[in-house]
Amino acid sequence: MTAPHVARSVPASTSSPATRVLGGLTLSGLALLLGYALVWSPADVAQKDAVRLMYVHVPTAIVAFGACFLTTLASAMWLRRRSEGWWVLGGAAAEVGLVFTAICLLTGSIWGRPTWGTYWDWDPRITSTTLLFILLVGFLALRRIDDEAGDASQRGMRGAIVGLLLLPNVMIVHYSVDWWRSLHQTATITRLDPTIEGTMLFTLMLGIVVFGLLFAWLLVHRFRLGWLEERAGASGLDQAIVERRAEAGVAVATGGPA
Amino acid sequence: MVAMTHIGYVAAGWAIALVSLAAYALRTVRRGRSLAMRVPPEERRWT
Repeated sequence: MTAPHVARSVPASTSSPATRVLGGLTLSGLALLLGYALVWSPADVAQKDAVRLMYVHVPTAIVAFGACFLTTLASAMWLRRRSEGWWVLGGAAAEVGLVFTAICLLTGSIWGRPTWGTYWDWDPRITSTTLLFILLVGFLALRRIDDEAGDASQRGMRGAIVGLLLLPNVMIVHYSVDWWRSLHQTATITRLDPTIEGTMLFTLMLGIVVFGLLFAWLLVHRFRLGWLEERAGASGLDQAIVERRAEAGVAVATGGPA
Repeated sequence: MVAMTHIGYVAAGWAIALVSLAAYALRTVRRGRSLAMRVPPEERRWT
């Protein structure tokens, strides 16, 4: 006797087997990173244990810049193709990027106090990163603001133009320490002879990988959430049209205003 | 065992980062669950 067919229940969420594996990898990596960042890596000769903030500040900055690159790419592709996928990807990358940029600014500010003696300074890199944060807020805001005619295309166009400005600003953030006098040191790990080595370099690289995995996990979930928002919005609009037509039909049948 | 210096700054920096990311992840997943119930399964291509 065969077992009766049981319909597989589809979980109502934004997760899938792949995101669950990615989430597990991210959590394991995060546990390892915490061990290296807070316990196993040595203190710096000059900064002492304050250097442990580098393992969260630098990776979140790199991930934020990657998110901005993705947002600019999605904006350009949306301007070219006007497809829903690029629209949703742009919004998802910008929102996750905004979170990472905020964390980068906050952890940088906290790191600045014991190393530079101040929480904030209008240093070129800090200023350009703050501008990046404001651009991301503007990008997300413009995508939500309708003009008087309710033209979604105009709304998308304005957002996409701001999205195109993100990547040039990331380049300014990156090169700001070379172009202007800055409290920040020049390139540490992107040069051919990195200025840190051993366990510290390994921990920093591990941080970049782990926060990169976390970004990927968040991006997939936020993309799917955006997709659902579009679908729910479309079905809500369809429902409203059906209800309006039904009302109009009743009104015509009864001789009332359509 | 040598005591850690700047422990308050290190703890604050890491706590802000991890708590913010966890809160954002939780909010995203919860909103996803609530919206997914309003959208037909065939529109959720990942399931």
